[in-house]
Amino acid sequence: MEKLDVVLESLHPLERRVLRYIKDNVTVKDNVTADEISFSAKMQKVEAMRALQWLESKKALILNQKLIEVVELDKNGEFCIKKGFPEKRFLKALIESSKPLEFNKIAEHANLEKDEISSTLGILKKNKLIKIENGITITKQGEDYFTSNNTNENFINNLPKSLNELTKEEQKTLSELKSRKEIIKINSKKEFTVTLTDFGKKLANTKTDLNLIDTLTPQIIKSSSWKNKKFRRYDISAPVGTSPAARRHITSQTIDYIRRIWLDMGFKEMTGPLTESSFWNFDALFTPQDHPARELQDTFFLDESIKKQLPKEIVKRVKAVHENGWTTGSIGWKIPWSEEEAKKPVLITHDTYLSAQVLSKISKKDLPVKTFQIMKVFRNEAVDWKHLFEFYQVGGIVVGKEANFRNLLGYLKQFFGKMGFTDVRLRPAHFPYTEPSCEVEVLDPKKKQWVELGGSGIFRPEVVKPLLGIDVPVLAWGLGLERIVKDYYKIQDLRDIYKNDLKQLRESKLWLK
Amino acid sequence: MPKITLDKKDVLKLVGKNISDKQLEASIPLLGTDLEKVTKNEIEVEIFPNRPDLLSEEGFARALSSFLEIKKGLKSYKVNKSNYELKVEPKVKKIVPFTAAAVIKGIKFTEISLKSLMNLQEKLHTTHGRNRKRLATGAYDLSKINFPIMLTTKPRSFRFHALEDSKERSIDDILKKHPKGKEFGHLVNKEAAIWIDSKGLVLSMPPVINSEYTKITKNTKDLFLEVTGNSKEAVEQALNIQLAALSDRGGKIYKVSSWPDLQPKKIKVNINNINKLLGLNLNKNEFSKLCKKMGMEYKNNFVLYPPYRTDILHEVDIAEDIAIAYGYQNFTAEIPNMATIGQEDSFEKFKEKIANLSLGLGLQEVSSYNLSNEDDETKKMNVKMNLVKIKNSLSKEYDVLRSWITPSLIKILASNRHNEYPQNIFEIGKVFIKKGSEVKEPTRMAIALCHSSSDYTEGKKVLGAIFSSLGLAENYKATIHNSFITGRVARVSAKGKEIAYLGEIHPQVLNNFELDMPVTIIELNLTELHKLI
Repeated sequence: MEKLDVVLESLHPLERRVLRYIKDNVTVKDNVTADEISFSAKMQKVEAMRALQWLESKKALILNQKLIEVVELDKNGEFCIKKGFPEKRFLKALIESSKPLEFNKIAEHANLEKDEISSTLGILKKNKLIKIENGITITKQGEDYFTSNNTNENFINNLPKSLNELTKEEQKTLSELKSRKEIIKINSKKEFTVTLTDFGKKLANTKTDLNLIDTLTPQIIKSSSWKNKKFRRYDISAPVGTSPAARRHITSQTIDYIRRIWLDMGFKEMTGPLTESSFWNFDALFTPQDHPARELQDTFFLDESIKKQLPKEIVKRVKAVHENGWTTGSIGWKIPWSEEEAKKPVLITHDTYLSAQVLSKISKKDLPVKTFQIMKVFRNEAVDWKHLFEFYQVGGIVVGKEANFRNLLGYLKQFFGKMGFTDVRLRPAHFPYTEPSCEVEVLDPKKKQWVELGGSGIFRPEVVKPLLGIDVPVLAWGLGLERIVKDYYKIQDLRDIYKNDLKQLRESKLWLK
Repeated sequence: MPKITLDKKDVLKLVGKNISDKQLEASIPLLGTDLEKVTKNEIEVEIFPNRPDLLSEEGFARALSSFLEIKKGLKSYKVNKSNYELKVEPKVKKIVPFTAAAVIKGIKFTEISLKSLMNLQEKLHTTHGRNRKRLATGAYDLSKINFPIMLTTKPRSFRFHALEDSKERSIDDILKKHPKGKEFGHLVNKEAAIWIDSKGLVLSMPPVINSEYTKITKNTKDLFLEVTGNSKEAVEQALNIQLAALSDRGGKIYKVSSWPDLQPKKIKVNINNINKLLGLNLNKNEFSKLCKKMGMEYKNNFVLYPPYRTDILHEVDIAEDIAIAYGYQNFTAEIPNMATIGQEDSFEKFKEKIANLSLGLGLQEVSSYNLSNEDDETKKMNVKMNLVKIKNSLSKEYDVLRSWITPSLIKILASNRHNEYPQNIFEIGKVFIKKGSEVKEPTRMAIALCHSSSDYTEGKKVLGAIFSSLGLAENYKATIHNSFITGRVARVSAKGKEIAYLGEIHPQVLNNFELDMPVTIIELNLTELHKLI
């Protein structure tokens, strides 16, 4: 247990007031309720509750929580208090009129709702308060009833009351009123009672007039009035919430890290447009013009009023390579190649098109060349928890006369090693522009499962030679990013990455690799 | 990529050895097919589009058996001589440039093998046949046909009984009423191609439907098989794939006119080139062994490969088969001695600095899609713009490219009404501006300040901080912009270049997005800003 004087120095003014109140009343009652304290000590209920909780954490008192059922006024009940019960209003209308009244007139005079009329009539007839003969007249009993203050009124005037404190008489009234529409309701409420501990009693009986400094102000510092005074001690572990710290979006944090890795490995960063011709997205990558990927369901095609410039010399070579293999030693696809088809503008479906453009811009004397890019790509797919129509790809190439398949595995292993995946494997796959082609998989270190993270391979001569002019090995890859983001930030549904819920973003863990 | 479900028992019988599920699960992915799952009775795999020969139990089992070195090496196929003749009328050539055919005899069809053939034909139609645009194939009961057979054309009024139809109809009617007619009718010319026998019996109307007269049943033992299409190679490959499969079922192949050619194909290879590409050091012997695992044979600088392989265009295709036979898992990783200097893109670096400055201003970064819709981009923003449209988007919510970032931010604020304020956010991204027939893709940053006391002054302080951090002085000029409150919106320039908007969003726009908190917006062209520095 804390020392008495330390605790005394840490008491908040509110705590002191609460303690004083309990101390003054503790001899009368063993238990006081939180409501009583807030009412008698003249503080707001939240303040009283807060002070009580602080005192409880200092082990000065015990807060006992009890659920009690309380009878309270409902909507119509409040109306009854102001204007009287419907039956009284009814009788009033009768009294104020000298002659028997028509039924509808009364309802109007008494300001009765349609659905109140029949129940009110029932009550009046049952108690013989009215007589129905050539219109409605009031009886003697009715007049008595009208002038007396009856039980129903007494009952609702004294609400709220806890259910277990009702007398037998009151219980009867309650059950009658319960059957009527929205006059009363029964709510469950938390009630707190307070019991002082021995420590609390000691605390309460010690003089607490310490004259502590609560808030340090510029005035106190300037005037040196803090000298010879003590500061109130804080509860240093009290829960207070957190400041909203602005941060990069989770994908940006991941991308920045990945950029560093490729830069560290000696790669040059590339950027390019997200809209391109089919030529660069497909044809330059030796994707035949009747390939299923070029059909409408996979690729977003842009409005054809958009024209992308095609590189003339390269177009000639690409046409030849598709139709007959050109000078690459390949037999080609052996189907006629159409420039019109190649001109169709698309939203890029993979970042590899940029690698093809890189090849068209370098020459033999630049080798070896290593480049990478991180960019959004697009697929015309239905969106669900594991498919997005727009997502990031991390791609790159290594162009070098000596580059080989084992180097491809080497670079991917290095990269994924730095991403925290120690095991990487390649599996046979198929892409029109690489041979050999591979799926890239990493071992999820926790789940011990192989996870597919992208495609890779060595560009076919049919891709390299028309663009670069010579045939050299080009190692290439295009890896998914969202999967990595999803695993790191523990997101189940891929769509949630771009949900931009500010609470989630503000509370997300930083990328700490 | 086509997914197929294979009968496990049938596959194992064809492989010629009982293999445990575990072994299947381990070896199938290494062979170059995506394994979905192995169940009690089935194997589900995804076949890559370059290997249509794997689309049936027979072809898949053949490759697997060879890969596991059970029945390895190049298989040879005997083609028996015959008198079967086939005529193609010259007028058909315009519609169907290429044909190929063969007869197969002595097959004991079971329900499984019959289903396998039907499935194979269906998959060939959709993949290798590009939904019958490139080719179509049919199989017929030989006993019902009289040779010579002719491929001719018939007018739309010509009548025959289509497969699984209730009665004889005109071609026009078949195309309107038969399910296959409706699906593939667009591929039929005014004059339809028709296979017809010497007695006038219709076999089929390629590429749409066969006739009821010549259909195959469980009692069929001998088949006539034909393929039509617009690529000689593709047509012959489709025929060979089916013949190889039927031959695995015990069928004997007979010539029809000059078809089929089941001689192995060959390609010249240089083992050194392949070794260099793969980073291996295989000798002739080892190389030859790996070829056998893939159902091929190495002979005097040539690799002989089966006539049903469609994916061998170049020596590198052999290199991949060698890599698969060697086992992708057996390659050791190596970083080459190949020095290059890393180089960051200067604009990407600039973007990162601007983002970090924004964090210092207490702004949270968000990230939205480049795809949007006309309603959000213009109508709700109370402006008109020339947007870049997508021709074929599956979703109406995402059928244009965004032309500014502000709507994305307002959408985000509208979806965050339940979260704590202030909500001060920014996004850096591309926008797509249509200029004539060109699309410009500048990168911009937008900032939204959203809380109960957000106003122009606060925005101006933030923008001022950005410019002064870059050593630039900016200029504010009153402007009219329908998304903003008039008198509270400025066009901002630096070094004489108009580069940003700053203003308080008009309450009507906020209403359109069901947002009831003031929003101040900055939209800044980073591409242009970068050029000024």
